[in-house]
Amino acid sequence: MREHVEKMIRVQGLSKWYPLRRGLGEWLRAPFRKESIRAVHDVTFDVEGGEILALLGPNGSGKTTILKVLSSLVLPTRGTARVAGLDVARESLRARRLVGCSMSEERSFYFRLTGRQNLRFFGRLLGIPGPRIEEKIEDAVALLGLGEIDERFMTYSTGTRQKLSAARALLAEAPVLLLDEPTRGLDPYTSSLFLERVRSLARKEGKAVLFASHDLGAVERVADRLVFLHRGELLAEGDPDHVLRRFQVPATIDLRVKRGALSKEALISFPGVEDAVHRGESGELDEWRVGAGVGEFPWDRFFQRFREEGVALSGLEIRRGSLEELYRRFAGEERS
Amino acid sequence: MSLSKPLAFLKKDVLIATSYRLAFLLQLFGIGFTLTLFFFLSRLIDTSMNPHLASYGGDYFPFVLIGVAFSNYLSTGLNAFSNRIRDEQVLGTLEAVLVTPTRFSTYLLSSSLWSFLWASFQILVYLTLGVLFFGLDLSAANYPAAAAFLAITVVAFSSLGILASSFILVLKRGNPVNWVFTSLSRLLGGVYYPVMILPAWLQKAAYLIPLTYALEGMRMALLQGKGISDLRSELAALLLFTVIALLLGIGAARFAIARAKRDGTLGQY
Repeated sequence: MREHVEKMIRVQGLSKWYPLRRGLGEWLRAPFRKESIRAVHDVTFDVEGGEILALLGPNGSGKTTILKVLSSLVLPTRGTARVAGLDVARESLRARRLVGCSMSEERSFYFRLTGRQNLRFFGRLLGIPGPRIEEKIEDAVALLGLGEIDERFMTYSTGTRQKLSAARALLAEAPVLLLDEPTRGLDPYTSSLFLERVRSLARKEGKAVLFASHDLGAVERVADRLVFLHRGELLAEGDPDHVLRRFQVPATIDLRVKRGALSKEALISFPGVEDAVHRGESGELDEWRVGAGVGEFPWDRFFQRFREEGVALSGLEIRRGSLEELYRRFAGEERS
Repeated sequence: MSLSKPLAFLKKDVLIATSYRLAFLLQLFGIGFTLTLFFFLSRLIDTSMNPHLASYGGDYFPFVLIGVAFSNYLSTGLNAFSNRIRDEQVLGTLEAVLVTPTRFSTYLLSSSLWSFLWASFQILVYLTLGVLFFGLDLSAANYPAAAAFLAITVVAFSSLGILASSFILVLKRGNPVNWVFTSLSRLLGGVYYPVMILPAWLQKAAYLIPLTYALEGMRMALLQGKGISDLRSELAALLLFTVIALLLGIGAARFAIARAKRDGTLGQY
């Protein structure tokens, strides 16, 4: 049970429309016509202290716009965004004092300075005293394996640039952390260490963390809840299971039974089973993957049927529907 | 306001500027070349034939040296803010800076600090080289009056620069303020020749430009030893320009930031 339950981030009815810039020719044809594009439409959610909320959705779903509104870089068209009760549009400076932010732009450093000089500069802007900045830099260097910290930023590889971006996110001592694709470009080991630290910041220090990511593994590992966005609209909010149920993403069951004991037709006739695929053989056993469909699975009747058929189960693994499947569905819809 | 953030900007800019070692050295050599060029040019000008120079001591070299040196402030003031915003937009650092708890005004003023210090250093080098090697005589200079003009000039040109940076925030490219003030000031502001040389109708236009008053005051203070009370009309005109430019600059910057945030184009270029 988390101790920090105050609503640190509250987004209510947030909408953002960006005006479309037109070329000179188009402007001359219709100088008074105004066009705009919808980035976010009527989105509402909140994040408590100590909680990690992931913003999920295909490209162009409005994740970065929401983070930019919360970090005062963009003004909302309608609705409000609050940090610890402060309206970020009206009390921008006070709100920014409570927010640590890492944007996904890997170029957001001074190329001719070293990584350490860059972090010192941003640490000062965050209002952190000198000796504390040095401590935090050493901590981030050790955690992320930033051996090139004293080399100039312009010599960094993409991965090292992203590590420096992650290190900058960890500098902030604010109670709210906004992270835009923080693990993009990080190797799996560094990514896992970074996510562990983020989780610890939420659990131990009570920070409210809002992060946008396409890294579904990261989302499943650290997020308490997720918000699924599509074309600027919030389609579902809750824990991953809730969201998968909401979109009826089917679960699968991997079975191992004595070779030849069951056929595909027989398996499909089992209660709750929608599909069955023979995945191969392992010794004396057949391996099957069963599509379990959506909703409550009738486990009692499923096992009863095994008993009736006289088939012994040698292995069973339940795999719930994945966010990847959900993602693929919406990204595919986007393209079509 | 704490000095911690301005000092962080200054340190960062010094580190970046000195990392371009050759450019840094060439700028210093450039001052020597400019001085030498105007020194020999001034030999061509017969001072007795030029009554317009009489009120500045009669010699062309000190006249043009002060014009060239102090007009640096005009270009620094006009360009420092807009160039910085544009550079940071291109580099991608503008948004990274503005998500920190740093006021836009602190960002703007702090990030131009190095440019003004560098411009001041260049002026010092101009005057020092002028005194040591080219016979510039500052023995009669009234330094408090020069300092007063310098301070107001910096604020006036900075205000114009802030106004110019607003155009960069909204339009991204194309800066009418810089274009108008740079061109007109060089032509009419009395950098290379006294304003009295101009036809009467152009002289009227010259007195609508702050550089005219800034250079007039500076020359009178440094070359003729005139005090603040002698130069009160120039000082008053410069102050009036400063107040107007400051109000316009602050208003335009507020409008531009709000517009860029509304359009989501703060970091775009």
